[in-house]
Amino acid sequence: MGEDFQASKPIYMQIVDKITSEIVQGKRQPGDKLPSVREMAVQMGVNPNTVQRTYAELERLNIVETRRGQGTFVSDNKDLTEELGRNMQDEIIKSFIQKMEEIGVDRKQIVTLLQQYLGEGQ
Amino acid sequence: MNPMKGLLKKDYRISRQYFWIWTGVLVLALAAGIGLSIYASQPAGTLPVLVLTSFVHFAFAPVFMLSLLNLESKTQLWLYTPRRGIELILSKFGVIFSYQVVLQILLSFYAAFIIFWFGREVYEPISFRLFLEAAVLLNALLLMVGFYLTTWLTFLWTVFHSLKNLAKTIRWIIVIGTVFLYNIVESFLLSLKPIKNLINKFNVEVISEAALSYKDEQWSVMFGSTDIPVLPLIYYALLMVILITAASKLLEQKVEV
Amino acid sequence: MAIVLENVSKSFGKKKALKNINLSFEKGRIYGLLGPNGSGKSTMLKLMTGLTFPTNGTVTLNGHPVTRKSSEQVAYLTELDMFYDVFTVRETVNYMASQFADFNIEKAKELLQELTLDPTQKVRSLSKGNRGRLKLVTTLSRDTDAILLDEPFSGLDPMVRDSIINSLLKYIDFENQVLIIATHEITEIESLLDEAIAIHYGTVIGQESVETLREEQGLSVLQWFKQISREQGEG
Repeated sequence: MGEDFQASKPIYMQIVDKITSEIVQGKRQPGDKLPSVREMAVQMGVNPNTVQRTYAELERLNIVETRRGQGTFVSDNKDLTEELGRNMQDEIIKSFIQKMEEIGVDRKQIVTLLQQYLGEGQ
Repeated sequence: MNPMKGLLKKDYRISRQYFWIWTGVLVLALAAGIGLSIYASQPAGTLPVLVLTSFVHFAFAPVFMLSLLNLESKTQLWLYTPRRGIELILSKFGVIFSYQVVLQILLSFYAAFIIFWFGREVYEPISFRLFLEAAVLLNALLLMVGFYLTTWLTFLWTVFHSLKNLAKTIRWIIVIGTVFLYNIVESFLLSLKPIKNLINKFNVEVISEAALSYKDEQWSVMFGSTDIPVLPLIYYALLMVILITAASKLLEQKVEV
Repeated sequence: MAIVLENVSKSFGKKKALKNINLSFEKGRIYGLLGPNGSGKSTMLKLMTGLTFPTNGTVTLNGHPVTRKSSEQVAYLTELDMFYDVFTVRETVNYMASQFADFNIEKAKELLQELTLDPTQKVRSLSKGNRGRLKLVTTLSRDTDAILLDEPFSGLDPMVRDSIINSLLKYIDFENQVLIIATHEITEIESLLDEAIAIHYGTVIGQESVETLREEQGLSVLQWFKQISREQGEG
């Protein structure tokens, strides 16, 4: 098993995040079949019940769909990748801004700092 | 493979090595008996060797059983089983019995060899028929005594290991106390007149001893016979059944290692 | 299928190994019995296999009191050695197969191959890691209602642990078996567990669903375990 999990977040949610990020990165394409619950459990080194919950959650979020007798597939929806990508970007930016504000940097300064940082980076 | 066969095979497998060592030592001892007798030009010197090695075989079965039981008590494997206690015990009895038979056949051949060939000059001549009779009876006696002791040992082992809640010293006291108590009861019963009479009611006559005698600078061997009462034999057989049954029940329901 | 312990106590002489335990285990779930060495975990598993008997209380399997016969329905891996030294790996497997009607010899062969055990090797000459693997083979090859593992990882290097966890997840019949793992190595099995049960000096000091712990308290099992052990020490 190769996965390390954070303490503060349920394991099934961490696997949801992992699969979502793989879809955004294009490692999993719309229409791709996900491994069976047991295969996924073995890959991740987790309890099959946990994977079951992960798949249920992904299905609730319309990220995957279960086809009776065939397995679980990434939703065949062209906008899905884009949408998931946008959501992830939003989340990262939100948490970034939140953290900056926590240490007393206001929004204007954030923009300036970002421009400076990115400018230097080039 | 059926479970009982599996058990037997396992018991052979785990005891085989001990058996070969024992047999090796025995063969060496018997050969030494012949060697020394030749060296001293006293063929009757083989008799003490025969008597001694035969005598040691009263202890063979109990010693073997104890070492097997102790080997099993090192792991949980023996008790972690759906087999009944009686099957577990009888499998070990069966294996040890077969070993003992082999060893006694070896001893009997040795006896025949020294009486009819190697020491024929010095042993009192007996007919082969008489020899066979004696051999069968002495062998039966050796087996019976060996397994009587083994039965006791197995029973006491299960008693000892059933009392895991008690301190070791107390467990030992109980085990030794049981033997002591039984012996007191047995001697008391034997001292009763009606029982004494009953015991001696039915007897069979068998050759039971061989003695050395010295005449004209030559040792020779004489045979004697005794009466064996039948009723005690039946009593001891019954006692063995009771002890084994008790040991099996304890093994199933109480023994913890 | 369930294993139920009701008001179970177990003493060895004056020492109380378990005090008034009430627990039940359902099929389709993986339980962790967590606690330091000597806390009573092993005794609890032995009670469930019929290797030892309660001083007080009852232990039942599917509603029937546990006896030696119960080993037919319970596959058990001890923390101790459970082999005859003179056997080879194959003889060990064959012997177990002869004793347990539910032993699945095909599964055993697959597992031997997967855990790279040589069937012709003598048990005596196996390394510690390979002994651990062989124990797992003989335990997981049985199609039983319950699988009890006592310290399956102790003394094994991380590679062996991973391969054992892998086989565990691959070969248990998840819907129909209850799996109980007793260990003091909590981090190793945290992600396998549905339910964590903390044991401290012979008593159960806590029982939680692993995911609920994370969701509601933001704690890993190890953090939770340390927290309640500390509370015990103070209280």
